[in-house]
Amino acid sequence: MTDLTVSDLAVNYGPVRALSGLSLRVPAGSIVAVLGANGAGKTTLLRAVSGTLRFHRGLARGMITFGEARLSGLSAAAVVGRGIVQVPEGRRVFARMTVEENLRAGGLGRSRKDAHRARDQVHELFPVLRERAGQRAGLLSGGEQQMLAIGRALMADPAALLLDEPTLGLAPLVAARIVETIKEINARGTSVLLVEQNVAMALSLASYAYVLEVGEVALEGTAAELAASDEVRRRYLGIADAVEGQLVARTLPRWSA
Amino acid sequence: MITFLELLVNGISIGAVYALIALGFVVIFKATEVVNFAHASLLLAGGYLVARLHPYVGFWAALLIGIAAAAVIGALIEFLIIRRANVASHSVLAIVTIGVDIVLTTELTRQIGTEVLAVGDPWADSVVRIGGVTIAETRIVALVTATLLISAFLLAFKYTGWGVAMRATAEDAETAALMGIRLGRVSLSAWAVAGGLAAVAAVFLCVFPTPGLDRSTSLAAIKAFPAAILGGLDSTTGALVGGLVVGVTEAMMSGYQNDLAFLGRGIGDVAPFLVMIVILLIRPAGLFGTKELARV
Repeated sequence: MTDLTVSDLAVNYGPVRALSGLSLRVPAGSIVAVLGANGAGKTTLLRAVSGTLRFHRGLARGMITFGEARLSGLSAAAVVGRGIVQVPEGRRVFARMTVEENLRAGGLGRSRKDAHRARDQVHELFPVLRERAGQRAGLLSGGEQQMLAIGRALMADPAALLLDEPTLGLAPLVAARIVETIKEINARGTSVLLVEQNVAMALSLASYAYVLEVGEVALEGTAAELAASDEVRRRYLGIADAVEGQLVARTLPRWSA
Repeated sequence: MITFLELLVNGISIGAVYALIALGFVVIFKATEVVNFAHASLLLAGGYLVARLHPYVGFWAALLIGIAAAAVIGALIEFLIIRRANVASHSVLAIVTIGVDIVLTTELTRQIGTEVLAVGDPWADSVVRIGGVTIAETRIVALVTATLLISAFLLAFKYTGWGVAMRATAEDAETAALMGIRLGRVSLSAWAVAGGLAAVAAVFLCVFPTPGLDRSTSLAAIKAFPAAILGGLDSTTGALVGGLVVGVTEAMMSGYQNDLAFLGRGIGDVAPFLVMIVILLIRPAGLFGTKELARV
């Protein structure tokens, strides 16, 4: 089966090490989440998979494979050709192009007929993209831009979708809509690697999750295990339970000092 | 009045030719963010081949070969130099293109020597009279050809997959790559198209009333620089308007230079640059250029 496997990945930006010794696996057809604070290396991980490190002068060592195919060292376009497409953080729609042209840009590598069929599926998933087909993408709302960014990635008919903080900066209702869509896309057989700071949301979607801290995997487990873990609850879910007392006790002296 | 009309038509015609050159310049800049200072030498190379080959294969075949050769030279510059130069900044690449320009131009001027080469076009020095206005046929052909080529280009830019890939890359190269667009191909095709357009422009810079192709022809191409810059370096519309502004300004200033004697002789050659400076003072991004936008 086509599992996405990252083994012993290390990434440097010049002298700065962003990731070290990172290994993870996205089994075919699953949703796997990567959690962590800003600067933990989540985006770097996606860049390494999608072949865009070179845009940031980053250098990767280690092995990334998708099924039998080796992804390390491939250009971004070649990675897309292997069936892995990334939706970048901050949506990055082509603002000066129309919604329709944005979708077309996502399906350029395919035959006219396939691209046409993919576009119909995207329209079905996001009817608003059909209504706004002729509008400039820069004029869409944040939620619509996120839908366009996901739709644009789906145009290449990916076997695995990489999502970088897809609900960042969206209103709760819109975010919930995006979450539903991710489930729907996954239900159609596409694997999803989801990078998120919103831990509650990510754990509700994913079956397995990794927690990154300063470039290394600090914790991993099934979503249920992680959601139940004290560490995750305290640090990421803001649920302190019994630990609250200790925390206060530990911080107070510093404040009074 | 008659003089004015003649100057206007000639200005528009030469402006359309400048627009062809400026368009190539803009396409390269959009696709690769490189300011291509080697453009004048591409143009000279295309024109030189047409001039040398037409006695043997006829004008039309020579024209096609010239266009193809300039496109190939453009593609080679991209493939052998621009793509492989591992530099952090696009300004460094711009300086690299100055080097390429010097090498190519030096070799071509050595080949041309002191000759003035005819390009062998079929229109020669015939003129058309409409009312009292006399216009060289070459000027009309130049205008029509440039209009057709520019329209074809803009349609392709708007509607074909190539155009979509080009615009996506111009807007956000990294995201374009994430969508599977091959940046190398986009950049290669931009250089090839620019080279081909420059070769066509070269022919129309050398036909009547110009005596022919000589070592200074590439200087004429340099007037397309202000055209591209005053229109806005990243705007195809800007290239067209900029070309026309430069062409008409130059024709008018040269045509009326006896009335403008206090400005000195040869003001027509300087005027495009003056117009460029004035426009940049008022609109620093050029007439149609994108202002630098901060990401929110």
